[in-house]
Amino acid sequence: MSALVINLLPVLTPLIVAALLAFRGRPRAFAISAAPWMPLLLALPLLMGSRAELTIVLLDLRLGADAVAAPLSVLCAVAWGLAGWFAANRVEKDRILFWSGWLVSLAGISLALLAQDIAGFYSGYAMLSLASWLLIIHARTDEAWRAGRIYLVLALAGEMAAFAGLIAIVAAVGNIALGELATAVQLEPAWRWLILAGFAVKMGVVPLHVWLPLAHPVAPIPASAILSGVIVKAGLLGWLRLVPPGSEGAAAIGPILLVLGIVTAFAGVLIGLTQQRVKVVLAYSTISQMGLVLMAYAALLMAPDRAAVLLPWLGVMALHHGLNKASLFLACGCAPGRSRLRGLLVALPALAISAAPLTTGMLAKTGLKTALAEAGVAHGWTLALSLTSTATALLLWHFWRLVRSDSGYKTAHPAWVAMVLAGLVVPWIWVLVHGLDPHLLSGLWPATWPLALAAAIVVASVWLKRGLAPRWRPGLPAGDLVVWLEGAARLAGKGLTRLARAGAAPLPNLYPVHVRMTRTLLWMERKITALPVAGFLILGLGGLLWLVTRVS
Amino acid sequence: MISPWTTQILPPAVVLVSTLAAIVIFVAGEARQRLRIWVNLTAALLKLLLVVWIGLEVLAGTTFMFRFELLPGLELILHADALSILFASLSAVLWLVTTVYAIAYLEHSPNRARFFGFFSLCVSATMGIAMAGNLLTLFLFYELLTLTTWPLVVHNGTPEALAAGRSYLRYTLTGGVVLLTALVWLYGLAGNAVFTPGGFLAPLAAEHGGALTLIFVMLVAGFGVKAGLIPLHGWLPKAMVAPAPVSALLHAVAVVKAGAFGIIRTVEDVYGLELVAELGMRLPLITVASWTIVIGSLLALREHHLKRRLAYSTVSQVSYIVLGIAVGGLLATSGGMVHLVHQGLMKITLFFCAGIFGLLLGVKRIDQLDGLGRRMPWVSGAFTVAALGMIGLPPLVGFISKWYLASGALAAGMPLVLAVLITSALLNAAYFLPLVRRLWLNPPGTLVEAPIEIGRLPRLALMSSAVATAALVVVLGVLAAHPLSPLNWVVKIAQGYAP
Repeated sequence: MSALVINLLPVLTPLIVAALLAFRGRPRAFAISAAPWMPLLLALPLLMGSRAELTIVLLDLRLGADAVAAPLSVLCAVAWGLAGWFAANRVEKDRILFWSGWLVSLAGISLALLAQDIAGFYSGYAMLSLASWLLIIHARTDEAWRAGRIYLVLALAGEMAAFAGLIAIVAAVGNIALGELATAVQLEPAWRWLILAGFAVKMGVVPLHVWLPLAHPVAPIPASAILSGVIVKAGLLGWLRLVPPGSEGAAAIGPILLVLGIVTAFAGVLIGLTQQRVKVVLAYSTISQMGLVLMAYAALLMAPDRAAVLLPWLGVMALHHGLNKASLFLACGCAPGRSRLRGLLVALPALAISAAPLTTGMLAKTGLKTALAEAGVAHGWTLALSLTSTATALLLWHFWRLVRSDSGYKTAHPAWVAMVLAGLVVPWIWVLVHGLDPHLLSGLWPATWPLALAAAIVVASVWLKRGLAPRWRPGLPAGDLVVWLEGAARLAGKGLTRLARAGAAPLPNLYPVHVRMTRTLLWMERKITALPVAGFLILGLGGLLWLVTRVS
Repeated sequence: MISPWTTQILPPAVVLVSTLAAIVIFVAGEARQRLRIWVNLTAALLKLLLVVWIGLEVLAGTTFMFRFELLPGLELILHADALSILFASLSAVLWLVTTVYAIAYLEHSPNRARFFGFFSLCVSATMGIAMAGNLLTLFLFYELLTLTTWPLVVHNGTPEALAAGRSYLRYTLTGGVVLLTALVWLYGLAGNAVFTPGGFLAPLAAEHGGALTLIFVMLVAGFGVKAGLIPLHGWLPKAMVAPAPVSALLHAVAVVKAGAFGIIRTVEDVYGLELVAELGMRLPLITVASWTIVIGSLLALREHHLKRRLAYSTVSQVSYIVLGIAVGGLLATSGGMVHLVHQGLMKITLFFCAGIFGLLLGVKRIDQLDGLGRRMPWVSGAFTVAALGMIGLPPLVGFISKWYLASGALAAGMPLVLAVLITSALLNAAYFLPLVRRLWLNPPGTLVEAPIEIGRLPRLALMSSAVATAALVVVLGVLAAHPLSPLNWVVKIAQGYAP
């Protein structure tokens, strides 16, 4: 019983609080004050580690926190909680809309994290997808609607792709426990690709990344923080759950994902460098970082027997990026250029994401390199990885130049400071708790030279007085590919409308009735509508029928 | 155990309760409003109790059979198997809710005796369809349903309503004639046979294959008129001129479901899916259902009138049932049959809400929905739940149907059917999500007309009906695995058909 309560609380409480928002006055005020605390409930199943089965809910719902969910649950509890604190003071417009989206998203991701069966996971994931749309369109400007529309189209399409794939599993073996998935079913590659592609939308893997740079700048700051820090990682969760390492034939797709990962890592930075809006730059940085996570996942697929070591390392990467990226987003609302201290608070997470020595970023890189080594990938990849650090450092320098002049809110919010500290500390704790070897000394030099290279480039460019961003601006709009896609969609829409209009021509009358018959009908109609007696008529008819049968 | 006499008398009793109510209502006349309300509610409750009683007995293994020889060789048979109970309990529950709704909705309109009288007769006919034990009985009640719903469709008496009524009769009566022909032909071949799981025509297949194929086509076409299979759907969008409670029932239970139920009986209990496949009719049936699903949704996308959009959505969604049955296998059959209940709940909620918007605020078009969430949060909330359910969003009932249909399609090796379902889900999102957005996120528009003031009690009745059915949409979805959920009931039925 208690296991049940422990596992249900993180899912149900946010929903109940969201429902309270509907009632004006005291319940609503209570809901708004309670909402920021909700993510902490995730600590319960994490600490207790108990499992529960609800045989009457959904399609036999099973809940429990396991090794896959643990790092993301920690991330969710800390980052979502701190962002909630930030939001409690800073979101003033349309608070009901904001908090309902916030709470339902949280319930969704909690369910996705804790669910141990396919249907339960998918339910949480779908809730998360739809509810985070509310966070994106919060401003309800034209720009926000556009971002929301593009997000929704991609999210729904991705969800349907994933649905098709997971239904293929269900058709073969039913709604089985996620833990049994790797061994239970042999899947046609096409279905597996559908699953991967479906969840890749959330992760922002190129070329499915286009919603991120549009959604992040329009969402309220704390919402961008969790979108970029936590929600994108729901895609990773989807991969780990539905294409777990060790699945039949999964190792073969590892190299393809590896290439996709490195492409995403560099493409994110390159496009990001052309952008002039702070949160757009951060969004592209997230895309780039997700490329690295994708590489780690690919390595995991290629070395499934080493999952016991690699999974915690993947956790380090998720925690590191989630917390630090959330800090950078919160910085956007705290006028970071106003004092040295604030500058430091931006520099710490930025350096971490660029994988500077002794930061959590170095840990993440070490993890990734360990993974690649376990997967037996050639040495050249390690060099490429180091270069992503250089690229990221350049991108974040670009970010700093933009954010420095930002002076929206004058005060710094304590939640920002707390998030920066969490980013510094939590991944280290994770490494210590799991007894991972951080390769401190051997990692120092590989972590140092890419940054030195970046610094050299920056210095050279300043010295040349050209600024970092190239003079020749390719003029890529935020969301790059999506602009052409939108054009195509508009054309398709027009075609579809035309088609529909053609179909709208009245269908030929299938039952031409003779004029006299129509006239008779009309006459009958007049008679019958005049009388409530018509009822008797039908009853009488029934009686007559009965009499006839008796006589015969 | 209950006595044999009771097992004979209960099925006709379920049918006759409403007939009696109708007689009382007709006799009492227009003025006796209070009496009418009491009779209506008592009959609806009594019927629900009877259905529950029979359902529990069927679960315990009792067989119910009532035979009555109309003419030598032509029997009227009422029985109760699990499938009957599925349809009967859906009808009984929704009728109760709709009665409450209709009493409030029509509080100030004329001709209420006529309306409620036929309303009750309509229930009788539907119960007859649910309980029918052979094709003849099914046909008789099916035609009775046509005749008793027509006065409801034309209730407003406007030229538009009369035109819709004519169209309705033209379609359904023609369908009836086709059905009758098929019936006579079939009786000539197979005699007076009762519904048998797995069908009773297999022995005739070798000799009369061609005839059986033709009869099958005619039966499906005859029932397909009411089920709104494209291109036989023309009457359905027109019929939405009827008052909201009628639309709600037409779309959710009575008429379209009668058609779908007829197709289920034909496929499962007269022919058997194996014979259907043997005659080469399974693929065409799947095709018809698939295109109805997709085209219906496309047509819905085009409509800007709220009730018309909902009507085309019905056209599309009812074919899920036919699709599930035609694909076959335990999963898809369950998915199709459970959609009988699930679609009913969602669609009745949507029509209840559309009716409330129309009656109280004069809102008929989609662009008038802007900002109604603030004005009517409960009704808009119910609408939202049902619309999200239609898209198939978990944990609502539509998701459960979709899950079973989709996995059934793949289990039967038909990925194209999965593609149809996914296309439909996306189209559903495309025509329902904008409505939800308008309700909650758009700034309120100017009111179409002054809000109509109705009493507190009727207002409460209207809203609570919509909220109650919306609550069922959530509860039956969340508790889908409960032993008493429609899903588990249906899985039991499907095991009988597709072991």
